[in-house]
Amino acid sequence: MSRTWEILKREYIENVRTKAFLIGLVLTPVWMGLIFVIPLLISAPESIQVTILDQTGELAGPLTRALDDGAAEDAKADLPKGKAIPKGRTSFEVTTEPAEGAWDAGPDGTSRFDRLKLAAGSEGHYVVVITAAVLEKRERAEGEPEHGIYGPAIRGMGSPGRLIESVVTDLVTKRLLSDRELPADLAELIQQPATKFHSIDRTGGKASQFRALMPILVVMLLYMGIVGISQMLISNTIEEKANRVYEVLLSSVSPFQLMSGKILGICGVGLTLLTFWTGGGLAAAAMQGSSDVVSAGEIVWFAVYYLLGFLMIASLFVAVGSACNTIKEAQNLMAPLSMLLALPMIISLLTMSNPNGTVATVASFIPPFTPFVMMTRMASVPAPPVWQTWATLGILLISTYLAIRFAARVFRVGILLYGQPPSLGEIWRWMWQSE
Amino acid sequence: MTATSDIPAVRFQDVSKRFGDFTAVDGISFEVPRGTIFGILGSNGAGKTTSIRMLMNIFKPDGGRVEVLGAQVDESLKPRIGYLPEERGLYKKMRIGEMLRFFGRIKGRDDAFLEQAIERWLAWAGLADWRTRKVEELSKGMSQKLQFVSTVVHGPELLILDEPFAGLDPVNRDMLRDAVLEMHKEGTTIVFSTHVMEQAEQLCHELVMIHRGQVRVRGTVEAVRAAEGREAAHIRYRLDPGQTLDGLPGVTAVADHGNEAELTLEAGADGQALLHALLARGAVTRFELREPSLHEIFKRVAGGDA
Repeated sequence: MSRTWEILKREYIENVRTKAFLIGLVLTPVWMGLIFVIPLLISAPESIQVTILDQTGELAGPLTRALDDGAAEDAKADLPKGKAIPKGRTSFEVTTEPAEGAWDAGPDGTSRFDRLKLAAGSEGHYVVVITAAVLEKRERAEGEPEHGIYGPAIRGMGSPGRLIESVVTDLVTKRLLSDRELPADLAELIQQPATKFHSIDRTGGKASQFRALMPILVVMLLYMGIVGISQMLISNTIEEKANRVYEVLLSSVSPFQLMSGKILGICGVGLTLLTFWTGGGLAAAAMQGSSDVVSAGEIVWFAVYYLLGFLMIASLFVAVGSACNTIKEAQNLMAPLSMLLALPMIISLLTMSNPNGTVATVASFIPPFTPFVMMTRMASVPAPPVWQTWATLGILLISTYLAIRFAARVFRVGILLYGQPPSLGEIWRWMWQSE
Repeated sequence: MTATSDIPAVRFQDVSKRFGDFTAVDGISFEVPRGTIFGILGSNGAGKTTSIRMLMNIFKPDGGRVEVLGAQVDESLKPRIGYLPEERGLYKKMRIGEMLRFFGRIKGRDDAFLEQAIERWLAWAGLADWRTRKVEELSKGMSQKLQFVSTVVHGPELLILDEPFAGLDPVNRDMLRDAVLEMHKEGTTIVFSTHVMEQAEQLCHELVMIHRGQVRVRGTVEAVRAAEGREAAHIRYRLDPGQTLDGLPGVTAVADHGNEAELTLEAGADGQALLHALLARGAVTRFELREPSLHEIFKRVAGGDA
């Protein structure tokens, strides 16, 4: 044990002393921040052209005002709930064209509407068509244009298409209501503020904004901590093998002591990084007043999943590294592994909205995915069933143990082998060889 | 150490090791007495490194038994052994002092012991001022010396050196030989392998010759040579133009090195008649009758395919 400890200590100290470690410590949070900030910066084009074809002649004015500046008082008055359009980075350049004759084919066979649609499709503009039929509350007659918005695909909440869609819907609703003689209380009822969504945590309390991001954050942290850090083991193992230092070490320690010391040392490097990052994150959250973003139980589970996930994946990496003589050889062997390792992240992100669905549940039981998927589920509401927590943990423990066992067999042979790199088939045979 | 000196430092009992279809070591047996310098001799691929790796518990034998310092090999013996493998290297990024301390600690030595040993050995290597420098800054010769220091810094009872002289320049070779002799005087048992027979001849007391995984010859250097039962003429010569060393009386084999040659004689051959025959063919500046060299013995046991 003390020999393993010496190997571990050396591995940890030598790696923490490197410049690469310091850079990772500082730059990773910056990089992560950029991942969240950049999409906000680039999601909305600065100025969007909107062309209105209004058959009624009544709505183009209010729509233009609402899109120009939703916060202006006269624009608000036109909207049913008196609600303002968020004035984001998006600004609209609105033009109104006469609807009359817009659908008539010209000499070249295309109509003005066709040309507007072409411009919209190719340049990312929007065309708003408001038809008389809509305000008259009747079915669209044969040959009449269709009411609606034409533009590039709507991408999520807050995209320009969604914004225009909600403004037009509000304006049409308001216009239709004002036509009718409504009982005063009904009109008032409709103007009540919209039902608000309150996101809550497991205790029923108000969930903080930070909390809502938690499932994504934990998966990213786990991924960087496990896949990112354990990759160090490949290059590190190959470098030491190239330096011919392993047989010297085998005069003092067993191959298993050597391998486990290396893996645990690098695991410590990862833990140090994660402690800094999460500690910093939690401190930042606490300064913003949300001190209860994570529970002690979640931290314990995070640590458990990190350790088991790391041991499993690091064992694979160290086995690959030991079998290769150059980084180039390792890359060939790594290709299938990398594809496999990208999956848990993807599955976690995909199942985030349905944390207890079939896909998430099944993926929780597949060992390399378990830490990522289960951690996402634990950070979500509702929590996964208790039996699944323990059953997946059991499977994870067994498979981590097996991964270490097999890796040890490959490592034992690989570190003393120079020359032609082994094929996957040969590595497979080593895994089943006795000493 | 003296109390247990009757137990051999190393004992191989009918040991075999196979890799797939290839038998690397095929039932070898020998003993290394305590306090000796012992040579494992053989050409490349004879099974020397495989044998040594079994000695270090890096390989497990498929058959037979390997004992070290009186016990069957296992991990617990490693702290008492110093091992310089044929494939050797160091942590290039580490500082020299820290690396030596690390190598000592994984052998279970405490810092107080190591502090003294590191100082002593770095002084021997001429690296006393280099303690805080990185290993990668060393020249090739210096790192070869440091490699040896890292093998012995924990004060082993048994020192195993696999091809220790390979790649050393003559100065470092002499330094290493002196260090080995010094450690031998202090009571360390030394086992080394080599394919250069002259080194074994100069250094070791006992030896074993391995060929194709089998022991062909074993014993003290003197006994091995005497057991040949024949003599050889070691000569330095210059032949007259047109003359050769062929067909000399009583000579069964000629190892011609150019200016010198070793002539293996048949039993009872007449040395004086040979010298006359040689003088008839040219000048002889040295003529010595003694046992054949290990090199010639090895060539014979290897059946010419050494």
